[in-house]
Amino acid sequence: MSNSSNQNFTYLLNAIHKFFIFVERPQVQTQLLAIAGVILFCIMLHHFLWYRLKQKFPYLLILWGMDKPIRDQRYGFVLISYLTFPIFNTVGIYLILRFWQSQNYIDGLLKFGLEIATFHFGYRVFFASLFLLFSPVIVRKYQFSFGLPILIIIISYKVISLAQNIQYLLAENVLSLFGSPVSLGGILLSSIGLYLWCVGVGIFQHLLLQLMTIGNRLDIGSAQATLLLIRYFLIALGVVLIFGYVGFNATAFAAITGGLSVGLGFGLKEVFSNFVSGICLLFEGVLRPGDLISIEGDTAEIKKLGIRATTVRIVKDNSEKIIPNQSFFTDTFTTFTGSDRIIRNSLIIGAGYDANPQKVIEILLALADDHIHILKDPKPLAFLIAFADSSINYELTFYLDDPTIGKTVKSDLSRELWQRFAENDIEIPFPQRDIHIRSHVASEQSFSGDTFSGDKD
Amino acid sequence: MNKDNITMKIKSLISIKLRAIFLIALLFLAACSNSVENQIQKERSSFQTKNITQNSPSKRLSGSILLWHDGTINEDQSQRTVRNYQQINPDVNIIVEIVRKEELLKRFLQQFRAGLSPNILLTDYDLMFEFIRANSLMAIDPKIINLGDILPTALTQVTYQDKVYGIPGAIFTQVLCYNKNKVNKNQLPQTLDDILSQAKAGYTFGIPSSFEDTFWGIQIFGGKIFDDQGRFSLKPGSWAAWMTWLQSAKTLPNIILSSSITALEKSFMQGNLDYFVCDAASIFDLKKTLKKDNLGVTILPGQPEHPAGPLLYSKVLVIPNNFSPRQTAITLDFARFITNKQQQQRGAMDIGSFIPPNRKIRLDARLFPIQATLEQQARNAVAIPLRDIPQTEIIFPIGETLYQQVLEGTISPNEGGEQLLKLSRQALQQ
Repeated sequence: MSNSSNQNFTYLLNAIHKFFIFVERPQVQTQLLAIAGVILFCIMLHHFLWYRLKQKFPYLLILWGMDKPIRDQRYGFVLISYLTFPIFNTVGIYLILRFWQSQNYIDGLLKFGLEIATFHFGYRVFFASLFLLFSPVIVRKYQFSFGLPILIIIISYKVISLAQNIQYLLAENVLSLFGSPVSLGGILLSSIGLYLWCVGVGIFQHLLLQLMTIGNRLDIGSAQATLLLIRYFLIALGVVLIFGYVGFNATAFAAITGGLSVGLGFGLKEVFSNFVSGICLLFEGVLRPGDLISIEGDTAEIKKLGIRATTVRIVKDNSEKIIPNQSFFTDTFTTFTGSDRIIRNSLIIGAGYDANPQKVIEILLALADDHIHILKDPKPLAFLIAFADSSINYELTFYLDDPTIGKTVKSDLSRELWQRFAENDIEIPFPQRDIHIRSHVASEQSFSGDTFSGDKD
Repeated sequence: MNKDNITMKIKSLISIKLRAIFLIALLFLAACSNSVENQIQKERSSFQTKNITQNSPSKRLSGSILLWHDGTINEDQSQRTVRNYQQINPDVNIIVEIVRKEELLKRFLQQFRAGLSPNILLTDYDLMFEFIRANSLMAIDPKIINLGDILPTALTQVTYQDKVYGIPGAIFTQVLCYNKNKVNKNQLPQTLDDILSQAKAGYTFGIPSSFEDTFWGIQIFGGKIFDDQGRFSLKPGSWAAWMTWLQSAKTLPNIILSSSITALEKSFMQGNLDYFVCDAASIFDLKKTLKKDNLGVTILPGQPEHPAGPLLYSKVLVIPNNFSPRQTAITLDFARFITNKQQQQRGAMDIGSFIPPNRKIRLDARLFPIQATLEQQARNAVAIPLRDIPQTEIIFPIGETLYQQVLEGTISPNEGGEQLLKLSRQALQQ
């Protein structure tokens, strides 16, 4: 390892040594202990309070799993959960600080602790207010994946800056990669920074989706597909910007990977194929989340379009299938929601031969007209389709705008149809046989007293 | 189910109690630490007065301390000093950190208030005043560190209200540097007139131009900024006369007055200037650049009865007063080590660009001519005592503004001198 690398590690080791020098001092120890004591006390108090509340209000156990914003009296519990600890903590540290100052002790760390506690309070207020706009599931997801890391980074930055020149620390080169020096700041930026960028893009995507689908101005599936493209673009942009800023030597990287390209090409052929297929699917707009397709004989709903595979939900048993994107390019599949979400259904019913066909058709059309889910345009149609063995068969065709409710609508129609047929004395025949006895032997036997149990003709 | 509930309740009760006990223990420790802190303060003062004397052998010390300096001292020399000390005390680790002068004051005070200050700080003496005002420095006990051999002028720069708050490590002042390749040492200017005549003869002079950098000329015309009691006592005529000379010198093409010391240094190093009014602190770098002993140093020209009086300033070691007894012991021992006669003599010989504050150090002028010149200049230099620093912080900015106005010709030197006196007195009274 070069001399400069040794010096860099020496600087980092010295930074750790300095920490131990400071912690050895009584003034520092007392301040840290006081802060730790306050924090621990507040944690205990908060846990105790929340424990008692959960005992009294059991539904609090599912509060964070709700999928709608909380705007009723339950919001009070959100405030209690989020603000109890920071309020007590801030007040506690403030009181300790006042006491310290009255005794003329060194109090710089306590002042710093108060600053951090106040900042933490602001962070909690911000996220508590988000419960009014978004569901707890979403808020807590992004709080822990985005907000909390940022909070930790800011606090760590401030703590380290107390005793170090952090700009200098971050600028120190710790290793060499592809001939380019890489600083500590570069490593942090390309790891944590990239992670936060990706999560931030996800939040942006989510917010944009909410805006685009307000008032149903835009179909959710189309919006999601568009936003997915934007997301991939932003992530790629972020990667390029971050690695460019860090000083990543793309030329050296290209030279090395160029030599591996043949092997990589063979090994990752499928992956690249799926990735490119995914991009093409998004651009084409052939598939969107929410679309209904028929795949391998099953009707499925598109749940998620990924860069490698698409997740579908099988309607009949609610299972999920993960299908590589390439399959959609090489196989044929049917989509019920390609151009629009209107789907045609039909109901076949048989009525007795003694029922007036015109009357039956009128009943069928009236039935379709009365059902709330059947579209008026295209309008429903009824046909006499066959003179079958036992009945005259009719077909009622109608259109729905939700492909998933076809079975329900048919069931409703069938039940209501039975009722209306009954009111109008229209029989729904079931298969039956009329036996007509035509031979003499049969007739003479019947006059001689043998009885036949037969239906009258 | 009932049994499970009871078990859970018992567990939660136990965990709450355990936490409570832990918390009480923490608070108890904190309370004890406070009383320990008071006890430590008492022990430290008795420790300093009773147990350590200058002549007692140091006990085996172990631990780590943090040293700050502002980057203006010779890095190799400082590393060598630290290594030498660590050879004697192998269990001691000294972390050296450079903090630039621009951020030194702010960062030190901020960290001191949090208990995170360095154990020892090497800086210019003028910053000490702010440190003392913040009550952040430990007064040096003469029984622990011998101050009797320190030059009196240097001692005034670390003494405030009869307490010594620092140890002078090195003394600097201004001298006249010259390029031996271009200047015959028998022709060195002795008076201001010599400068003018040599300039007309073709020799080039570089003079840093600011109120502070040209302070050395005031004494030539009989001026003094403070009297022995520290009262502001500048004679307006002396500064006016000096400014008149500077105005006339500026008109000569071979005399360059510039506020950029870096540019003048570079020009001198490149051989474009024959003479340069340099700070002793830059002599080491000038010697390195002008190879083969081409750097010559002489005292600043003056008048026979009134020699030049450049400002004399000390680089001092100060010790903040907020760390553990173990760190205090190491710090005092280290301070004693680096300010002892042998170390200072060694440093003066190796670097050759500062005046050791120990008056018992005598270097042979034949072997160390630069050193001898520095010492000679220091005898006439003006050492502003530490107690007068607040006044200079008021007077010097006023002086700088008027200096620029006089040089630009906006006001005459006499007007400038009167304004300087008037405005300074007004500002000091406020």
